[in-house]
Amino acid sequence: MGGPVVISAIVHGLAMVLLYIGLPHLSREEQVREQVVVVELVAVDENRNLPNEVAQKTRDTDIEDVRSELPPPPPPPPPTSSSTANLSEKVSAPLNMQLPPSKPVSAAAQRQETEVIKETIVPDYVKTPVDKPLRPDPFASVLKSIEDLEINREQSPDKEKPEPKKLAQDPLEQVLAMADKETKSNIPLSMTELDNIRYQIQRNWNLPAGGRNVHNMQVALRIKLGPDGQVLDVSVLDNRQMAKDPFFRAMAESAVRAVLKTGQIKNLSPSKYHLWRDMKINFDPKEMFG
Amino acid sequence: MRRINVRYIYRVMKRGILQYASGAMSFLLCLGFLLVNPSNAVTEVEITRGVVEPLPIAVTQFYGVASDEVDLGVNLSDVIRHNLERSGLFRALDSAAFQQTPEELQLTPRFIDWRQINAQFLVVGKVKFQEDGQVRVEFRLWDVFAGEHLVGLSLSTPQKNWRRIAHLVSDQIYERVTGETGYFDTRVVYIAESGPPDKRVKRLALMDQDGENHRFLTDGKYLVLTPRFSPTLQEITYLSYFQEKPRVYIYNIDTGKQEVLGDFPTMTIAPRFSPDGKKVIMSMAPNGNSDIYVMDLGTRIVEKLTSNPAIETAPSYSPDGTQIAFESDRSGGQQIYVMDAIPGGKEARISWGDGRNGTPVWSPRGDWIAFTNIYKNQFTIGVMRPDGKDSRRIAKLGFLAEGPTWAPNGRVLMFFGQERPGADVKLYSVDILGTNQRQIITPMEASDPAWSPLIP
Repeated sequence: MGGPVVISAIVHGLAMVLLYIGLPHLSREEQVREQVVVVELVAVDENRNLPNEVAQKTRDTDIEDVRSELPPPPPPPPPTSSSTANLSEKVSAPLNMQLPPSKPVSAAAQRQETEVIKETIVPDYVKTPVDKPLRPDPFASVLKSIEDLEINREQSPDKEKPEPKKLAQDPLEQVLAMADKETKSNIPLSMTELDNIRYQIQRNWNLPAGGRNVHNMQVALRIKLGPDGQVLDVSVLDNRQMAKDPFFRAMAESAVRAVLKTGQIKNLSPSKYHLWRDMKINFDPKEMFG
Repeated sequence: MRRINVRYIYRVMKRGILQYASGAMSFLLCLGFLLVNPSNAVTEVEITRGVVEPLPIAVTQFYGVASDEVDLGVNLSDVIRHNLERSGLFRALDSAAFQQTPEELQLTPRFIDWRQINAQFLVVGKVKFQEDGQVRVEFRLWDVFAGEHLVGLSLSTPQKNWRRIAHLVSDQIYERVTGETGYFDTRVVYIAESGPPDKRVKRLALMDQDGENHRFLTDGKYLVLTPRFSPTLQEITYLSYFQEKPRVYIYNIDTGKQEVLGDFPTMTIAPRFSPDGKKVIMSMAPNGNSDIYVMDLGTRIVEKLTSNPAIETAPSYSPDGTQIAFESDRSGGQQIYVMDAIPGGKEARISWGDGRNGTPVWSPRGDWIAFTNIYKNQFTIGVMRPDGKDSRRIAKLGFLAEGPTWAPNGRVLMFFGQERPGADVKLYSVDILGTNQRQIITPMEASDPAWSPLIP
């Protein structure tokens, strides 16, 4: 009579033990072992974790994109009566952290200008074939100057390699196709990949250095990126302090501007999109005041 | 009636309990798996370094229709641009690169045009003369990268007062971007010096912080020293030698009225207001030994705060009025001390660096004390925390830099000095970070500046 119960208990127990042993992330030892794998990846990967041919194509596209002359900007849109600035005695609109290119736009922003939203759409350089005329990129002038070094570094070795014969016309599709083939990796972002993100943002972070207590302030942002690394949304996590402390607000806004000015974070591994599409960025300048 | 089978009930209950237990364990295991699985954690990136450089800002010409409105629009944007640039925190972009006209900017700006020239902020405005002789100035500040409106303000004033409007607009921009209170709508009082060293004429002079609207307050017949602004009112206290007797005066800028605070029989040095403007603190030497005294301006009662055989002088209140920084040579050399602002209050030395340190001035925001450092025959301006930590020198000239005074926001300092012995004495300003050191242009030689609070 008690036999089936005992057997059931043993089977359940066994299943649980197997479940426990079979799962890779349930113990610390496994995670430590993964860290070793990450270090190896850093050693083999130069700057990015893309397959060679895709990386090659993307690099070439980057170079062409930045080097090519921008076409003249489109003619200014005709002013609409609804967009007339209406000044009151003291108007202070809250800062909307949502980027114009992102799909969900706050009601306030929509009310303010539909025109502006159209203007600030940032064309995705990956989607645009290299030989076709590009739409004006609002960040192009910034990127042109600050990425010269990066381009020079990557340019020479890439040019020597023969271009692969068959590539999909749209590099983004190619990247995503390759990424789909791979199993989604649970390996966290490597130090090199984190450094890559850090470098691109921190060079645009112009912090209010002389502000009161600024050396003890930390600001955390939540940013959302598209598959091409384009910043879709950025928000300050501590909204309460934002409202009550003008020094914190200045610091937080400088951090938001750094992300917005970066515009697009490059050289990200598509296979790890699930790891970098939604990130928390902590700005802490303590080291600068050492 | 059917007999109750106890064993059957027991078996059913036991099976239920076991199934419940195994189910619960599985649930807990799954939950644990979800919690420890690193793939569910949000990736965090630490940004520990940035750059510190002036923010690119586009200050456009304020729009006007009539020709005098256009002229005033040009003047307003010029003053605002110079104010912001002089702060060292902004870099005004060349207007030749602007792709939108002042008229077009009365609508929402085309941000793409401004991003292309790397402007982070955009200032637009409008001027309109009114029938009552007033001028109405409107302005807006835009964040170019976020495409957001940050602040808008409309101001009216008599036409001759237009410079003040420009300063107020500059303050609004500065405050909204940096989080600090602005300091452009302020004045500076200083000692204007002229003539040869043996017949030096020293006059009290007043000017806007940008050097404009300069005027003399005294005629130079009597020697004047150490002017200091009241923190709350547009009043100045200073020391003047009238018929060889030192007197402390209070001068009201708005009314031009001058009042003698008191005749002091002995050497009286460095009078300075308390933060509430109700007291004046100074050093006096009634018995040949200099100590710190405080006078209540309402009752004129004088209290002695220190009692030390050494020389105590140059007192300065903390912004909350609870402490006083002063210099003393009790350790053998001139050093800075902090004490509770009561007679016989607890005292502690805070300066321990190289050389001698004196003339402490507490920052209006309370986080720094500025001082003059004398080391190897060179005078430099330094700052330290009120507990003496983080001491560093932030400004020096070829020979002498001394007499620091704080802007009301506690972010910028002014001081005077000489590039070499015998050279002209001039005024300079410097940022608290030790950057953006600039000369303040004055009509003649200038010393001992004192920065006013914001004009009410």
